[in-house]
Amino acid sequence: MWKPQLKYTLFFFFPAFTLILLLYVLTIWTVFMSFTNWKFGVRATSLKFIGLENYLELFKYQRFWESFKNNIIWLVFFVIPTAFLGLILAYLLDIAPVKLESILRPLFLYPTALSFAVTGVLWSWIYDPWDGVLNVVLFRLGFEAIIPWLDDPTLAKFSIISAAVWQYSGFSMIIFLAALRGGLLKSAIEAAKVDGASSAQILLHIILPNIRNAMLVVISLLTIFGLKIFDLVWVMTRGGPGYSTEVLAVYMYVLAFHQDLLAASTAVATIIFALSSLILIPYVHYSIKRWFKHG
Amino acid sequence: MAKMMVNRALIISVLVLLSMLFLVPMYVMVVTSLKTPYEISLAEYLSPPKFPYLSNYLKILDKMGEALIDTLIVSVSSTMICIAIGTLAGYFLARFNLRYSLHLSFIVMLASFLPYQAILIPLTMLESWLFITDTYLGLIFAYVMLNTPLSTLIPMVFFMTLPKELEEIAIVDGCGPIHTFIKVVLPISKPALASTAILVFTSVWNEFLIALTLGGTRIRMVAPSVAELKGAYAAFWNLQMAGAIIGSLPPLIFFITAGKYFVKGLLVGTMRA
Repeated sequence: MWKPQLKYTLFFFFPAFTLILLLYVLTIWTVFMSFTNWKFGVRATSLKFIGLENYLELFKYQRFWESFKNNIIWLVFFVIPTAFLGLILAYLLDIAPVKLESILRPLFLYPTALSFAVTGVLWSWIYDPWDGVLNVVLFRLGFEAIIPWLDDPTLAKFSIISAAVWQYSGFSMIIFLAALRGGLLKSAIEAAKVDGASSAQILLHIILPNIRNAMLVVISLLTIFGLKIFDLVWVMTRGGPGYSTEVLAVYMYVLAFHQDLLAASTAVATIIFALSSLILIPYVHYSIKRWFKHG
Repeated sequence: MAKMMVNRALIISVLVLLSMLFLVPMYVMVVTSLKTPYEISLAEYLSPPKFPYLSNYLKILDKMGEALIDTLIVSVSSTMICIAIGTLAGYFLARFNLRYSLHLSFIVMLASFLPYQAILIPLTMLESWLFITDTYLGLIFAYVMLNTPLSTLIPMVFFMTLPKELEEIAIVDGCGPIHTFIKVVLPISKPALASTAILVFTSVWNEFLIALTLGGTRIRMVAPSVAELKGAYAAFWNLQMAGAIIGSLPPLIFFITAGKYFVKGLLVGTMRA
């Protein structure tokens, strides 16, 4: 509509563009530093390129692989249950009476507005072995065992993940609900009905592809959450007991701010960034193309 | 007919059962925050308090008061700056004839999903060189930068769906883009601005990693302060829960009073508008 003359470009776009560019510069800086011998106290002049050494060093550590493995566990046990719980909630709300839906929808969604710090403090208490809500309720119901929800190395991973599922299923629900309710979908269904399509055909050719798109969105976004998850683990267990619940982001933080190994820490950051990019680049590419086609 | 009734009852009961999963944690959090230490020791978590014991909240306000004020200053300033910067950039991307608008949108959207870990360490170094670590300026700068991509995207998507007629009238009247933007476009953009503001405010208020790294001694942020209660008040669940509630109050108030904009922002933020 408007011609992008220099003065307009400066006025409208320069501030945002500079900041966004800086984000990319900082990211490249992280990647760059991961190939150097950078530590706290190392002068810029004695900074040396050491190739992949930081990575090769990391790969020797059991602790790195433990964190990596835990992120994979997150991807399976956080992403899939959150996506499916969201889909079930959206489906049920879609066919529920309108009044009930308007009461329940915010109830499923409010955890999305909470911080991981709050969720972490809340669920740490729920999981407390002695006076946590869960064990107390189980005890009243007649289970005598004291279950160490956050103190058993294996159980702790799944306890934290369950808290995350609780917090994010409303988020995935709202995306599915939008797919089921979208104006385009409703008018496509109407048009198909007019053309005499059977309800099976409508389900197969109109509703399912739409849900498939929403599923792609949900799985991609949750995967990114699962790769960068930090706060919830930090607040609930700090990665313990031992390193049993540690994830890459926690390990990265410990390397940088507790062990002063900055280059090693940027290597872990680069790994988190690279893994997210594997999802993000195709995802953003697809969304932009889709969006510009409609818009 | 009877079968439909059974189905309906089944759907309702499954939904109500599932809703308990979401309702009960909030319920125990609220009632526990209002109990005396003695009532807590009884471990009757599901029963309401005999009498709402508000001194838990006074104690928490005393401990977290500073953090609440600091976080409010940082989140409100970051949100306002983001809105200003992002709305302008969103309009630029939506309404200027750019050869590379697709590429620019790609760059902006990719940045909006960037994991904070990717920039954390250089950002810490940069801020310590500039002597702005642990200052309002340092935190506001970090949050403005991190939230600019989202603050650009949400208005951009909104402007793209806006019919062009109004702006075309302004052109005929001889208005330039700046004038048209301020006089014609901004007044009808309140929904987009509200969505952006709520989302940015919530994400800054709830943010943990940057707050933990760049704040701490002089500037205390709410999310790390809530997390600290776990150690400071170990086993004082009433105090911990009061802190958790106070710490999530502003985002929850927005969620309750302006849920529509919150959801809209979430959906646009994920490119599902």
